[in-house]
Amino acid sequence: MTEPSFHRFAEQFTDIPRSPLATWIYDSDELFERERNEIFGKMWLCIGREDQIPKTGDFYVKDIDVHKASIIVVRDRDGTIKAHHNVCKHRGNKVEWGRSGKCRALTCKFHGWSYKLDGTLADVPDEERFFGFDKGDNGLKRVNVDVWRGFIFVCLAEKPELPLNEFLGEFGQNFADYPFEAYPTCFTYRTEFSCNWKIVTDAFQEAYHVPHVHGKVLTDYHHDPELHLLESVSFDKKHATFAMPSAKEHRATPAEALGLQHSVNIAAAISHVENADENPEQPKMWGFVGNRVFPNFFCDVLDGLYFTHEILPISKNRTWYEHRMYFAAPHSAAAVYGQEISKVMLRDALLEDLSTLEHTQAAMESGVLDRFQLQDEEIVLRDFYKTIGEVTDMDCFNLEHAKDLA
Amino acid sequence: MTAAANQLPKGFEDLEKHVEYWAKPTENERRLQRDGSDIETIKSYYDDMIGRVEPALEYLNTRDMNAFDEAETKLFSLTLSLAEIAPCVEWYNQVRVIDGVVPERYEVDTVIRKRLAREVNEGLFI
Repeated sequence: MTEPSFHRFAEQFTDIPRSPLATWIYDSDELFERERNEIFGKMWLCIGREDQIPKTGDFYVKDIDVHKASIIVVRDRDGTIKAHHNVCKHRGNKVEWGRSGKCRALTCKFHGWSYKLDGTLADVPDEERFFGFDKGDNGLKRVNVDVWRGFIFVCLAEKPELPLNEFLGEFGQNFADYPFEAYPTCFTYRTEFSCNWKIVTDAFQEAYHVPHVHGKVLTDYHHDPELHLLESVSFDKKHATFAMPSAKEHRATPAEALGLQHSVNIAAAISHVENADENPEQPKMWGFVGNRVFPNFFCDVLDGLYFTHEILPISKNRTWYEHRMYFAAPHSAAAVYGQEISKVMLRDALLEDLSTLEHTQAAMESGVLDRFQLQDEEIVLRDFYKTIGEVTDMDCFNLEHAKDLA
Repeated sequence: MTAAANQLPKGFEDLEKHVEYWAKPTENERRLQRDGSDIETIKSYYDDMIGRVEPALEYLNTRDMNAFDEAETKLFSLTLSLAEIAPCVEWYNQVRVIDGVVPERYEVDTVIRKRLAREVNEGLFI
């Protein structure tokens, strides 16, 4: 009997649907409204790293468009991170208009109300002319914020259903020792796509596409036909961790080989696990471990670098996307060259990854397909839609629902 | 541009003809040069640089990268332009990513931090 070996994850995770995924989920106003409320309105969302604002008064402004929320994220005097709605308590003007900066106080340019970094109202011009006015009741409205290993999370609900540590569950535990702080060099790529936010998340939840979409870049996948098969998958709460196997050898191109003497890159890091096995004194390392931090954040860690994807809906078929790559601090020109090779390789691979999104959205809106057939290796994707269904109370595998919509 | 403006450190005079076009300090500028070139121009730059990048990096590693002079900065930028265009030659045999999203759609930020937040056992984790 050969069939079970082809369905190893289905056998391991029997509660994850194997039936086709319905495609109305990418173009449904009703589902989008539920996602807006139940997911983006209630859950912890990763919105950056605290090293973006290293010093007192450093701030950036984060928009969560589906809730028309503008949030000021600022380093307070006591060193902690605070998050406030970017709305002046006087008459609702936007307090900070820039995307980032440094300030001593947060001052509204409409009537000069000024807030401390912790959000408390410090100064009101002509204060005595107000009626029964108490500055203590008029600080900036607070947004729930917490930090895990340097990653800043906010939650728009009045009260989060779970503290951040509990929300992160095993993800937080498994990666507690990963040296995120050792990779402070950051390259950021930001754009928008005309597609549903879930189509962007789909791109980062399987390796089935790798030998095809990345056939020219990640050439190790051509030399090893099984390299795209996931090594292991685990789920905890709403999150997922999926490890990819290591390449037996990495065949670097000439320009890349020079870079590898001084830095790492994604392809070399994947093959690094095998090399580590040759030295039993060296701890076992991962090749490539993808992590889905539900709902919209991916943190993919390797030995020597990591990268993230943050995905936020703007509307049902418009999505904001930010990719960040993190490397070690370069201490020589050659190390910068090595990182440049890695960066360009990963950036170009991302251009390949993202090429399919808008085609898929157009196809979904055309109504040509009512379902996607997903295979065993697309287990993380299937779990994602099982989870979306549970959170929104709309079954993403229900093909009949399309008829109700029609 | 004068010849002096294209000057590279001693020993790298053969690359001076590429300075004006390829010695660009930022990723965006280097990427724009790539996208504005045909593949033959890129291959010609690649052919001239691929054998020279190692001595260039060896030379630059003897200098303080935070205090490069103008000639050293230009040589450094030339090595980074090789990184930018190498995929065109080594992977795609064309200027752009095959069937990729156009890179103009990206807004790019670069933050190179030269210090660690805390010391770690570099590269090893379980």
